[in-house]
Amino acid sequence: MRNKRTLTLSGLIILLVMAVTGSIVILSTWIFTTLYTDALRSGAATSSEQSLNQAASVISNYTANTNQLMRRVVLELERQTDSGELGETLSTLVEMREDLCNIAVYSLNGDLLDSWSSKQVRKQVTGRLDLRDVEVDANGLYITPPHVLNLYKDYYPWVITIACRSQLSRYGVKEVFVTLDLQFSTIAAYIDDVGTGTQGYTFLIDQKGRLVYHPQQQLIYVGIKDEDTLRYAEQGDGVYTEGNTQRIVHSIPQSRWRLVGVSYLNELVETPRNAALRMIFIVGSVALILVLGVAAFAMKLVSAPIQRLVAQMHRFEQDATGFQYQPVSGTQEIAVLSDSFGHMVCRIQELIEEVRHDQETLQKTELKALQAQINPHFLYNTLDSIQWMCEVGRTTDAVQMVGALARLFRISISRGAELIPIRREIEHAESYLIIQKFRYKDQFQYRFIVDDTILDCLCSKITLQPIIENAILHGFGEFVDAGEIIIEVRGDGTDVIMSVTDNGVGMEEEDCRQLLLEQEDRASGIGIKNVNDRNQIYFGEQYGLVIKSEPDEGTCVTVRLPKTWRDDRAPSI
Amino acid sequence: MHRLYKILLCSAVCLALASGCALLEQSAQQIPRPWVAVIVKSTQSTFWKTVQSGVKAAANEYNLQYTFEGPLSEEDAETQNQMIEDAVAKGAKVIVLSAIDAEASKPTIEHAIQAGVKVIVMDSDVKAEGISVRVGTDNYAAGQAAANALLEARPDTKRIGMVGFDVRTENGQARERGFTDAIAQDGRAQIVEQIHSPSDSVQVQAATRALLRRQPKLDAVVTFNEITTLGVGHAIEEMRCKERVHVVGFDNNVVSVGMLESGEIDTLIVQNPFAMGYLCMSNAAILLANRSVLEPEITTEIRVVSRDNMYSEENQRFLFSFTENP
Repeated sequence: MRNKRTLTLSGLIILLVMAVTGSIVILSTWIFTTLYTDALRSGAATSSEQSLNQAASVISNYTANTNQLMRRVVLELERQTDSGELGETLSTLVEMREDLCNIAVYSLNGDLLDSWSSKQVRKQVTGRLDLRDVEVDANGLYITPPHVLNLYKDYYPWVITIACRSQLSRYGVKEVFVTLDLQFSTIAAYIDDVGTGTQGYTFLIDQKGRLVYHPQQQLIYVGIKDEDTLRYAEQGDGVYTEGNTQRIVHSIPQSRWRLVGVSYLNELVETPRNAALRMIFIVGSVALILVLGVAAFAMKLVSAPIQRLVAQMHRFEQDATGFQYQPVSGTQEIAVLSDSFGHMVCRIQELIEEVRHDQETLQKTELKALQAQINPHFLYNTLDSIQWMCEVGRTTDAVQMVGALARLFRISISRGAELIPIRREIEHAESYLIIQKFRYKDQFQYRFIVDDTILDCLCSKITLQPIIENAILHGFGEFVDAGEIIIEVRGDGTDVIMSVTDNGVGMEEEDCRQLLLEQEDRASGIGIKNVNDRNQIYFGEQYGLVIKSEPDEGTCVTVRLPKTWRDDRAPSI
Repeated sequence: MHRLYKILLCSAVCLALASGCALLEQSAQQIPRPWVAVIVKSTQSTFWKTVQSGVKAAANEYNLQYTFEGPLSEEDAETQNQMIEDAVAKGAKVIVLSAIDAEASKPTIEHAIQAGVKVIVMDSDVKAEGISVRVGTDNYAAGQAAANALLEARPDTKRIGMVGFDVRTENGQARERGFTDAIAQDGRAQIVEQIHSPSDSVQVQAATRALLRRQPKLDAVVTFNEITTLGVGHAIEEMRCKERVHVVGFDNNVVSVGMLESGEIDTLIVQNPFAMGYLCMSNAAILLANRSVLEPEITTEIRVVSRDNMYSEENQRFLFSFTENP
């Protein structure tokens, strides 16, 4: 019955909901991703710069500290005359500063003149101060790149040496270098943890781009890792992004060192973005499932009652009269629909009942009409009359009588047709009148006034005859000599009017009404009511019989019916 | 309607499963770190300590768990094999091995490989099939480099004494072959005596002393690992013949560097143990991620260091560890 390809209502709604939800999710994801990525990118740069700034100020403090220390050492060397006391002071300084491993004095050619150290200095020292590649900075300090301090036995620490030219009289030369050898522990502590993300890191270079400190210095030194530090020497401070890598170069105030922060954008941008996208994906799918569930629930609310309604309709189609309607519950719309359907079912069932009833009545009345025609009394009487006519030799009358009787029956039966042309009905009425006129020995006259244009219109058969019978039986009685019956058939707009007028005894208004209500309990003929019923069933309530009567004046029975023709408009029978 | 609804529901469930998997994948990163067992010849010498520094650096970088162990004596192949078996039994995913005995460790290692453990060989090979990666010095070339350095520093060398270590160990043999071949090829000098001693500086010192006494006219002594280098250095110091005998040794520690500075030792062939340790672990990480390694044979650099160039920028980076040893 149902076409499988037709989209059901619920399917359509679910699809629409999915489409709308899906596109909203995709659109918002796209907008979110764009905004979030931008925010992450700028956030990454900002946080890298911030942490680098912080590290830079810490290292700046450290170098300032070291400068101060250098001034203090030089001051002590100038001031102290007693070498024992000097040694004690300087040794204490070395002890106190964790990253300071040695204070030394070198001649201008780099020969070691004196040193104060936390460890025992080797007797034979091959190391020399080498400042060939080192430039003096604004504070008058020379700061070397990292190198191995070749001063101790069995201990070779990596240090940076800070040197300062000084005029000290005690070594018998004009000028000497005072040096501080600093280990990386303090710098490392400042730099190792500065880095954005898990892979980001920071390293320190000098003005020539040589590495000062790198968290992976050992890896670089043994050649596993490589850091192209030289190029930062020429570059100014700023943010340099190269594909996935972001490098921030930042000079350290009051120093010739520069910090370089390296961070990886995929880690800082893509990882959190992907995590966020994954979250969105999960939330989105959960939402989708929820939406589907809700849609399914809504569908249950809407679709299921509709389907129940449809099922009821099917049942109603199958068996209209036996159908018992059970109201379908659901949303308001469904309830309204259900109520309307219920009303409709009731109305249809009423109508069916009505039609059935009408049909039954019709069949009964028609049967009665036919039975009336073949009323045995009428037949006996008529046949008696004919016999009598034959006996007295009124053969012409007898022939006429027999002809009329034959016509009467033929038209009554009319091959079972209910509706016959008015022409036939008139013929029928006339045949009846002929027979009755013989029987009643010309006690009355009759006249037909017929509009020829409507002879082919249809009317229900046996309409005029009962009215005429009524007029003859009740209108005239036995004492009326000059009774007259006028049968008129004419058109009235879209209707046909057939009237039977007599000048008999007439009746009271009450009797007229009674006539239309009266059941047929009389032995002969069929009632006026039968005629009225049949006409109203065939043509509708507005049609039928009207009886007008005045006592002692006469009666006029009017039948009104619509102008109807057979489809082919051809006279039948 | 029902079919359509079923399809939609199925796809929704699939989505949910996929997101669940995504969550699982995320949490999978939290599972215990895989364990790499590093089994070396000894944990005593500076060489192995530097290897351990490299292992540690890479383990931190690649988020790996590691154990670092070796027998007390560099000749104890039996203990080493026991350590391999224990590591396999305890569920090591990767074993990094520096084999004491290239032959004796073969069945143990092949058994480990059959058990599904990936094996990386460092520094000293084992004669087994199925080794995933080999990391180390080209020992034959290192031997040649030692010969060339000697002939360059002392062109007039005639008589050379050779102090080798455990003959079962693959790398020592390769170095000796490289050295012998290069000397033979040059033709000027001659290896007059070849001795082998366990890697114990006192025993080496005694053996070298005996050698120097037997061969009073030796121009040079060559030796092939860190411990034997120390022994030879001490013997030279004891015999006070550092001017006469040119010593070529291997690897470095603070003592041998001091001897290089003070003249007992003249040339050191310095390997890159930090890089070895690091590269073994970085390759272990690659193997653990089930990716294929870029190179199955990784050769680490060597440097020839003498008194004159030991403080050059490049060489001091090689000789002296920037980070403290563990």
